[in-house]
Amino acid sequence: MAMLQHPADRAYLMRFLPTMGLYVVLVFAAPMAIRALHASGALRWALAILPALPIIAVFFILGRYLIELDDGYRRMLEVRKAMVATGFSMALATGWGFLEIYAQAPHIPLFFVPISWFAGLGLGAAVNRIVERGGREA
Amino acid sequence: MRNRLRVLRAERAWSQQDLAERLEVSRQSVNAIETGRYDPSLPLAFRIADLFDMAIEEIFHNPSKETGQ
Repeated sequence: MAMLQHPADRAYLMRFLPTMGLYVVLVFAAPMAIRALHASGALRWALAILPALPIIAVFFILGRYLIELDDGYRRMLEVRKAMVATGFSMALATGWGFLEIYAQAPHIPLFFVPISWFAGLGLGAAVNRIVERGGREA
Repeated sequence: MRNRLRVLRAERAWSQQDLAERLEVSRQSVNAIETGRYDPSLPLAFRIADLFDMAIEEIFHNPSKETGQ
């Protein structure tokens, strides 16, 4: 998202930044609340899921971005980026899953699947740069 | 898809950014269309044709007619 000239870019940032701010608050507040309230049962589940909600919202925000980005070429680049990220993340999860089952590899929490997806977006951006490099005008 | 966009733009001494602003797309899009890496949507192709006051097929080469050339 190098350019912010399209309204969809600005709308994305206006949604993304406060959502991540909320995530930072909740990722600290949720365990504190669980400890302070000695939460158990349904209350503990409700508090534990709180930090996940802004991350889930980010996936929705990305979807809105793709809908609002009416520049077809840039939308194609963003979709390619997401596809690379999805392939990367799924390949990692699949490979590590089998390593856990058959090679006693240490267990990694599922939480790392979305983290690897976000890392995969960086990989997707690199793929876009490589593909783009071909026809750039001096 | 091969096209004459770069030539038409050069004839008017427009930069890619100038053309992008006239078409309300990104400069990246103009570059990708000019270099044949991206085929514009039909509405964008019509906007391009309108801007240059030409028919779409006068700007974009019909790929099905390029075989054997």
